[in-house]
Amino acid sequence: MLKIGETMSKKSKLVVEITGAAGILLIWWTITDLLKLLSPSILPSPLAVVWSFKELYLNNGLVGNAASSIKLNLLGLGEATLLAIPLGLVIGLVPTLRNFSERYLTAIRFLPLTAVVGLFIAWFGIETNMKVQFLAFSIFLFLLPEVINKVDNVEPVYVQVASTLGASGWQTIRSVYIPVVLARSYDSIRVLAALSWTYIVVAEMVNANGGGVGALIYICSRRSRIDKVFALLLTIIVIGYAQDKILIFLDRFLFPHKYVKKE
Amino acid sequence: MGVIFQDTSLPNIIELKGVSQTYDNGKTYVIKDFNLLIEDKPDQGQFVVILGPSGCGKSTILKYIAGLQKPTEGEVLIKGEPAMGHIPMVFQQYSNFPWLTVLNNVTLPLKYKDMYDESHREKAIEILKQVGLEGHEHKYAQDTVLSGGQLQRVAIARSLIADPEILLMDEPFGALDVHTRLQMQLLLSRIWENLLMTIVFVTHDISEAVFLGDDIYLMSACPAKIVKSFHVDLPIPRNIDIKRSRRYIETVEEIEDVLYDLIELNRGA
Repeated sequence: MLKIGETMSKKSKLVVEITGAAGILLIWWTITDLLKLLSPSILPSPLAVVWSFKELYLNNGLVGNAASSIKLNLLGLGEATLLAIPLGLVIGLVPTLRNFSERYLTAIRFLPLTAVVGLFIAWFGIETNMKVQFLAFSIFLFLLPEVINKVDNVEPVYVQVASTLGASGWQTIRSVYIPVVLARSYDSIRVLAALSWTYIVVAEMVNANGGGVGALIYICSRRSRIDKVFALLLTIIVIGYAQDKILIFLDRFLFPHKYVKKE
Repeated sequence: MGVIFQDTSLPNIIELKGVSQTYDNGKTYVIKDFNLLIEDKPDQGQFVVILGPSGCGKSTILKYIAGLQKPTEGEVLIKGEPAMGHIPMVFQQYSNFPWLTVLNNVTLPLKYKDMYDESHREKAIEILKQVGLEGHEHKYAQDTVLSGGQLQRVAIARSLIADPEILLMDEPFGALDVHTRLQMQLLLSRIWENLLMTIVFVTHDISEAVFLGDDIYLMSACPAKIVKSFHVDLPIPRNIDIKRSRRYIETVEEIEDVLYDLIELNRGA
């Protein structure tokens, strides 16, 4: 089990995962509850974190706030995808646009997104619409170059095959570029779905009364309820993990050819 | 070489006239004043092999014919008209669309021509049977599920479905192991017997060229030119016994002699 490069069976992997998690919890509990080495305002005990869920649920509207964050996530991700994919395809396919935009798209990645929140407040106010637009913009900025990159990376042989088999320009786009770029951009969307939680929290912290898990984290930090902050971070991780599983499931459904197993 | 078959009322099927390819703004010639004439033999078809070393420009010649590339100078004519593409080609690398099933890869040319209907499905299945892929129709055309030989069979079936007059093959068996390569050569020879088309097949393998070809054009490199052409006088279809025949061995040796002279000539220069 300690040999480098060795692969583990599924069963031993599960055993390692469970014992590892139990070990970490035990160390955490020992430091906080048993030996009381750290004050709860620095690191609360695991039990305190678990108990804080009850309060979050009863007093802080955890479910409603989580739902509001998920809604924000879906709207932002959806809007960014709907804009970035067609635009990325067009920019990637039209040489003039491609050359025009290349330098600017590389440069704009240096934009610190957290710094543009103020602008979005000025443009869209402080409510949900601002958050959606900010999130969509943040994801769009990463997704657009990704889509263009996928267009670039379409294997020339596929395009040549389409041409030799009699495809017109539009048929080549429809039968080669679109399926390849969609299937590959989906992987980027999955990565960005995880990254989007950073921007969701940023957008929600701007307006503590506007709801969402980010706003709750902000309020609980201000009140030094570190146990609740831990519980909320855990909530985001669980939501994100579940979302990724759903996205993989959808991927298998939309692009089954990506999941063909060796016979 | 087949002049007796020439039917003057028909334009030549493939003609390259004074074709040159330069790089560095005309300073370096990779192909210089290249000429090739393949006459149409509509009632019998023909198997033309372009034989040459790696990097001699033979794949480029094929790309001109396929309309995938235009030469810097000269004319490429298909049946008397400038090459416009839409001539099926089997590539050395695996070129099937891995996001489509075998069947959908094969029917692609018909869909491009907007002539696909359910009856063509039967035709596709029939062609797949001919290339020995029965039962694989609904698998994805990718190397996770199909072997290299099977993938090239899909590419051949896809090229044949629209009954082309010309089929281009760019070292299609180059990536296959010896065993599969032999199998594919026999398969191609067998299929071709029933088709009245002009196949232009590019290879660097002398035995493959002699085994498959009617006419062989031997190319040399830098700049690319045709050194000599050979007519292969062997019965069709070709089978494994032919490889043991005196005529086959003589033709291989004849080509080897020309190549040997070329090497000597280069050494002298």
